[in-house]
Amino acid sequence: MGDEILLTVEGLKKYFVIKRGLFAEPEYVRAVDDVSFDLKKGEAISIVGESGSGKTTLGNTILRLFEPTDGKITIKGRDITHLGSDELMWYRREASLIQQDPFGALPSFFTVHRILEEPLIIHKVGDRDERRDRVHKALEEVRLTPIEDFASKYPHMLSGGQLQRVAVARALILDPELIIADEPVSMLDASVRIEILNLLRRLQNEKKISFIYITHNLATTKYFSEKLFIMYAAKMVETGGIMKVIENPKHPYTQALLKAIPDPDPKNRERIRDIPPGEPPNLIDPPQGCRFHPRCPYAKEICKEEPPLAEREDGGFTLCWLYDERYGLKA
Amino acid sequence: MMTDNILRVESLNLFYATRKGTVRAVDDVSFDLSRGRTIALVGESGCGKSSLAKAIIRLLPRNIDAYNGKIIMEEQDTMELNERSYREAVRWKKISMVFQGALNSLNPVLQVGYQVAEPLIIHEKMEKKEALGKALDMLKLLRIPLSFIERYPFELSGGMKQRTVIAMALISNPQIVILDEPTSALDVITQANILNLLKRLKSEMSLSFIYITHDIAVSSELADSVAVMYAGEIAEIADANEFYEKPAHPYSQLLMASVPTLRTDKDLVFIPGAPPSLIDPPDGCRFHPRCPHRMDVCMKESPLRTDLGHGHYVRCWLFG
Repeated sequence: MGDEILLTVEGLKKYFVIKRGLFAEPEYVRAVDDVSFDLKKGEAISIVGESGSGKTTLGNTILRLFEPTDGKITIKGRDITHLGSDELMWYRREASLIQQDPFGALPSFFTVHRILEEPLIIHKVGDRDERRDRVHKALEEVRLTPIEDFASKYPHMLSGGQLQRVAVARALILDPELIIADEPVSMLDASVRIEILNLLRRLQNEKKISFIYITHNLATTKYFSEKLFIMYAAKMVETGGIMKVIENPKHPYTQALLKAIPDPDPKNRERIRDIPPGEPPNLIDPPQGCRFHPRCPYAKEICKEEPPLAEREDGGFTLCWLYDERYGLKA
Repeated sequence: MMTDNILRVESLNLFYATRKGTVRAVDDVSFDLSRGRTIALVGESGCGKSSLAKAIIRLLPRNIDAYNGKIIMEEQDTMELNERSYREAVRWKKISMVFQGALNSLNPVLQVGYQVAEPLIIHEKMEKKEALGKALDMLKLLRIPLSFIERYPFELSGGMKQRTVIAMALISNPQIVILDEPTSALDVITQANILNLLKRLKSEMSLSFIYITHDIAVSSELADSVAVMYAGEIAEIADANEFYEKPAHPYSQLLMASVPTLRTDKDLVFIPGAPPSLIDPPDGCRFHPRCPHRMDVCMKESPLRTDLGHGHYVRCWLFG
């Protein structure tokens, strides 16, 4: 345990074809473009990006809900990049997903018990009694008590926070080693958000599950994980320890993102925030070179070429020309 | 000159009739708003903040059970106006609104310029050419590139759509604008750009905003005062300087403590339980089932609005 690597992603690309002609070059949406990272056993990382940055596609591709266009995904030493759906059955038990919208993620015509039993039936786990025990255990783990009460309810009888806990229980039911939580709290009210984040954090610590927390909300990440990955326009532009990146962001995009996020403070209303104008590029025809260069306050001619990886002192990296030897800034 | 009152809401009620019973969505709400100032209405979903907005601008659904109280603009109680005179004299001209998610309800087959000019052409019977000229001025003010006047909504980014929607709300020159979650569909950097724009409009045009949001951190970007809504009532209302530093109501305190912050370290708390139904709210203080400071009186009697001085009001027995 500890340093054992669970998941390796290498040069992962996922392009969606949107136009295919007989002779013409096909047109793509480059949703994930050359992403690499390792995830250790029991480790939690946060992937932060704006809508359309490719963070959800990255999560879904790692779960092999999509087949990668290029690159390699290895879990527990097994290459799962191009496995077919039958061969992936074991992986479905190892990795599960918590989605953003608990109202849409849970079938409305099943009781909570049936929702949680379904994966066990599909994976042929145990007999009726054993399955019931596992369902009850999962409900207990997410603190939906009294269990008998909740097990017989339908989704519409539950509040948003309770539904999300059912979704978490469902993600746990097959005892996975990896959970991808894609915006698990962004549909919930402020007062219950923290409850769900605490729950996920506790499960991660107690059960040593590896977590990938995908969110647009940078402020919540430090309550959840130690490592932060920033995505912009399908690329991973900066990674590092969360507090290190928050206190000392290197990539101009990360810097802009941090400046744009307010903490509650009555002085905010007197400040005009110094942030770049414009919006993220489309991923069909992204800018050449560094994808942030059209908005970047430090853009130079060279930024139209692919930026190099510069290592941060804390072991992370940033993808930016500013830290190339010839510009002399230290990453 | 910056403190003259532009809107006074007094004991406003808006109840809906449903098959299950009466929904007390806005229950005895009062507040004041001055020229050039912004009041933020914060609260969780279902607390009645959007209903309050609709009650103020009088855009109501059909199933109204009760709609009364006073809404005073320029010394006139608009509740006394009939629908026709309200529509002709007040709505859009004195008070307008940016609806939640409105950026997705732009008319897809109308060019941006026409869409912004439309209220002038329809409500004020202005010539099309003149109206388009005014629309152009408005685009300039909102820093929308002028070439966008001939574009269609699908050609715009989220931020530009939101600017278009704000332009539509401002085109008839209202003094008060209700902003219902104006940035919650946008990315953080785009959100900050829109907030920069709203801050500028507020100071340059002396606009008054009623700013509805569920996000307390973001509310501090615009708010001069803050009203916290819970279960249809205003639990606390205070000047921003006081509110963000020292909220008084236990619900406000917990809400503030549940906000994840980037720059400061604190343990986050959550509020156990869920907001009550507005059909059958709890007796006494509506927050008492979730309140850590609950006393006997809280379960029996509704707390009165207590004045803590300089416009700080709170509905809580700890103070009354």
